[in-house]
Amino acid sequence: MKASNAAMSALMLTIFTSMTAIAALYYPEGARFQPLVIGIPAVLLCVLQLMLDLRGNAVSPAAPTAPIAGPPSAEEAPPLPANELRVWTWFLALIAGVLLLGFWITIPLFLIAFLRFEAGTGWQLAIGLGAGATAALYGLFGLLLRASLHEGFLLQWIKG
Amino acid sequence: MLDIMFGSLWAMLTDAKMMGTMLTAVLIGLVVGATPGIGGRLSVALAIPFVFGWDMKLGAVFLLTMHAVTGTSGQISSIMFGVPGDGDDAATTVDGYPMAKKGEAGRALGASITASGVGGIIGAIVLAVMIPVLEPVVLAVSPAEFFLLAILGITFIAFLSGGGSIFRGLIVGFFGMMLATIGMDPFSGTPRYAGELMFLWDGISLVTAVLAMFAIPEMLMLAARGGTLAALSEENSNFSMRQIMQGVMEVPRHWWLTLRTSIIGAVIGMIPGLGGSAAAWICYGHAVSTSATPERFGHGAVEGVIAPETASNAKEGGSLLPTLFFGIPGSSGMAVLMGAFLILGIQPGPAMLEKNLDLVWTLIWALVVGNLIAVGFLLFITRWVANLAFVDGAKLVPFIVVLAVLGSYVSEGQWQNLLVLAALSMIGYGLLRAGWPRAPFVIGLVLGKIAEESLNKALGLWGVGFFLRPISLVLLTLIAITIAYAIYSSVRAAKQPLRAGVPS
Repeated sequence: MKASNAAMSALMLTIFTSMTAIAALYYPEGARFQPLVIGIPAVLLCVLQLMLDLRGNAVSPAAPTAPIAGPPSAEEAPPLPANELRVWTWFLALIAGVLLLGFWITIPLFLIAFLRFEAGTGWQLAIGLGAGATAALYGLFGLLLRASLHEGFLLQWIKG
Repeated sequence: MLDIMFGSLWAMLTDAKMMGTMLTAVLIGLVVGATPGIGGRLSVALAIPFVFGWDMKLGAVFLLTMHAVTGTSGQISSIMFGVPGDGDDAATTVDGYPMAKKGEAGRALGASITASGVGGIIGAIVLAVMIPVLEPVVLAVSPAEFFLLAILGITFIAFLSGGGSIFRGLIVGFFGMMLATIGMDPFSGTPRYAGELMFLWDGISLVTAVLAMFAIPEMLMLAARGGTLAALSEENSNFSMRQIMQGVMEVPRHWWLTLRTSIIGAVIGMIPGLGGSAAAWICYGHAVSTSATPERFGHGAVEGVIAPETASNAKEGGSLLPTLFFGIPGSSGMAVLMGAFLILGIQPGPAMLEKNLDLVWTLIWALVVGNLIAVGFLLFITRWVANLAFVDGAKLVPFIVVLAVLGSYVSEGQWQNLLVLAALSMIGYGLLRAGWPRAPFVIGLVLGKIAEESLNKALGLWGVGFFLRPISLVLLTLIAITIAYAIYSSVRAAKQPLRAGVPS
């Protein structure tokens, strides 16, 4: 991890924790207690980490006493920014689609489009997998669990 | 006592209707457990209308069995895709997912399924053994200890996951605790950081946060990077029934760890409010701290799979104790289950020991038999499930992402959670991309509310003097030692490459 990336992460967290700690000052006495108990040491730690990162003295991530790095490490060949932007667009489009059109329209559309254009499968397979998965999810959530899923604002508006 | 104990088992095994009900409950429990977002709590809540009007014993066995086995299948998505279904499963992800990436999915699944089943059975045994001595154990843990246990848990996970800097782990842990303060203040009723957004008044959804921190970042990273989940090719992965059995045998090979974490998990389950996520993480930390080779953890250590799985299933037996005999639910899942018991006509309380002892033993045996059925079934299907690790990531990602989005919505039925999911996913992805740990965030979020309530109660009862209670002093010392050791280790690690002339 580059020192600048590390410093940027620490800076963002410093800003965030500072803002939340400052916001807590405006709450009544009882309500602000816990945010300040957490927020003040968090701000101090962020500043300390920021200083360490800016000095480039952050300890190596491969330190033997700090074994748990979480599932995939960032050291594993970082993806190209263009690819990241593309997959994030897919994800945010899924969220937007669900909010506007609801789950049962968006899910098959998303699955078919992703499989066809991102994964490069043929139309037949994409449609088959998309429809099959949607049917399975409907069986689980719609029929078995009888969960009421979001209909979509656009459809709600059209229905009046 | 013994005649009721074994009579209940015999009656259960010879009753075709009861066994059929249990089998159905196991299958439903495994399906919903494998689906991110639907934990035991939600599955019980959704099943209540189905069992309304059933025979008391049959309905209770159905709900308890279903609730108990959801954790057994939740690990599949944690290990295969790095997608924890719930807070409990997030601890399994830390080592299970790297094992799948190394082509050891079969071994990881074999070990986790067996550990989960064994944990569930030991939890039931602990429940049976502890019945006569429960009260003093529960009463020994006061709010002061709850608060310091929460801080110790965060400190420990921060130390383990900080990537060489305990400060990074602590910052992320505090960030999780900070998000836990979002919502209505439990004492003054002031909505904090929520403004007019009423959906935030109940706080951030744990399921959404876990999915956003682990599932979405992992899947988007996989899609952006390309390739398959497993780093090895299918031919070189040595995946076979033999590998699954190797995983199964890891549990007896680590029998001492299995026994310890099962008992710890069951005891944590007995403590109302601490919950299953805490049990999994505390036992994960215990496995690391007692290992002769802690550096393997986080990179695919099988003990890192066994410990949280035994704990999270063993806690089911433990949490049944206060639920049944004190009417105090041991976890949020047990709270829903207790509500269902009341609907079925079961009145939890000390009288259960006198009036409904056969029901108590039937429930204990249901935990044991249900777990055995679940383990057998999952081991049978694991061989096919593990092959998913070799499917092209781009073909797998859309299904997992859809499942995660569905899970986020279904957990609370609020569309706003999708916006929270998107926002937290960006933070989770940023942390993943920058190499910051994410595990402390989840433990901070889980323990944040417990810490707040406990701190307020402790201050109310003893003032700041609660720090001077004997157990508090022991816990404070452990926190101080952990931080001091982490700093010492970091400084030593930083100096070593310099001495060797290697640029840091």
